[in-house]
Amino acid sequence: MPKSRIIKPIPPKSEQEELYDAVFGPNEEMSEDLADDILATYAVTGQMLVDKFKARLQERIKEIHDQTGEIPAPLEATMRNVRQYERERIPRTVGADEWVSEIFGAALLPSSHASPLFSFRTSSTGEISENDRDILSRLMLELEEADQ
Amino acid sequence: MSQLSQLEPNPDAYARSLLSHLGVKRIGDIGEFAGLLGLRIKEVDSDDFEGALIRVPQRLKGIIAVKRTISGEGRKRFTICHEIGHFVLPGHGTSDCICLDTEVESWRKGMPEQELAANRFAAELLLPYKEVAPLVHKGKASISVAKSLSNEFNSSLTAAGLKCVEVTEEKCAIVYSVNGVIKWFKTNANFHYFIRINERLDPESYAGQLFANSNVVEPFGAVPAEAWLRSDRLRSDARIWEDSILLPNYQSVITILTVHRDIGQEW
Repeated sequence: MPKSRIIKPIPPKSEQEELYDAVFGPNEEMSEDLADDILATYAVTGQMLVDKFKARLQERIKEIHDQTGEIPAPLEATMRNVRQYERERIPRTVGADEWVSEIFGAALLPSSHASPLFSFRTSSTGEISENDRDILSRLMLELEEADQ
Repeated sequence: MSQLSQLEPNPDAYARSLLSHLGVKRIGDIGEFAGLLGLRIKEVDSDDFEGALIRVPQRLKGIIAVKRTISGEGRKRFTICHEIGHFVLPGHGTSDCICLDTEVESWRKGMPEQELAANRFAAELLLPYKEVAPLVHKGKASISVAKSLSNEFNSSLTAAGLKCVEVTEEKCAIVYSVNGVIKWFKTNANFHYFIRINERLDPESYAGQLFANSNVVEPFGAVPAEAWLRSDRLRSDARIWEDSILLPNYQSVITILTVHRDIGQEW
């Protein structure tokens, strides 16, 4: 028989939390992009906050080490997490081989409702003629029919 | 991919990967090759566009429309490979896949970045460096070598000339002139001189003479460097090797320039 889990009741939100929810939206809707946008309005970036946090953490670890001769395990673990977070933020280079393999891998995906696409160029090189639009529309239709 | 990723920026690398993934050393039948990617080729009577890609996103399925009246099989193949480039290269093929004749196989400044990338992709797909390098290193960059490459790889002379210049270790550039005016040029990594772009060809150049009189018998040899290059620091007797060919169908001349000896200070 499975053990029943004890679910702790979620404490009600404080007035301050409710105000933050009203201004910024509930916490659970906060994506990293949205957080960056909000921070940008205060001329702050996520990286600046991480750097500041890391510096304070290092300072605190050093203080405790100087006083006790030991490195506090919770702070050390936090520092490891910060470093891991930063490592994950370093862009990974996707090589051409991997990209090409993924194109062929995509052929195995279900077709879903993908429809053919193209768009007209309106750059300085000029737009295309009505005849050309007709040709492309016909080909688009042909491709759509073949896909069904 | 949950992690942030940075894509390989070099279009040539994608062309090489595609050939290797498909186990193809060089492209023979272009229709068969496109078929491996689920692409059908249709010749159409378009007015303005040279090539277009109509595709189903996330699928190996699409049509490459190519203008029926493109003169020269090599140019047609290049156009098809250019559209394959839009199909394969990251960030391409979701819009703007109609390519005008001023964009396919051109290297002029100010071209949309994606069109230039598709041209580089097409050049490598049709004339893979690995296959071309031994042939160019044997004969150096010249119109004659470009012609033999163009025959062997069934590419246009322009594409073959470009590849020659890219592959050779000499100080070399290719110049494309239309109706007596220099339209674009491409230098290799060793060539460090400015070419007189958008100017009328100098009458002392073989290219200039070919426009004036198409019967020039041997349009190659040493010409004054200042006929082609813009620099105050050229030596007064500086000469540069020119090898030109007239393409009457395009009212164009392709020129390969090579610097064989010291002609003065570079950039």
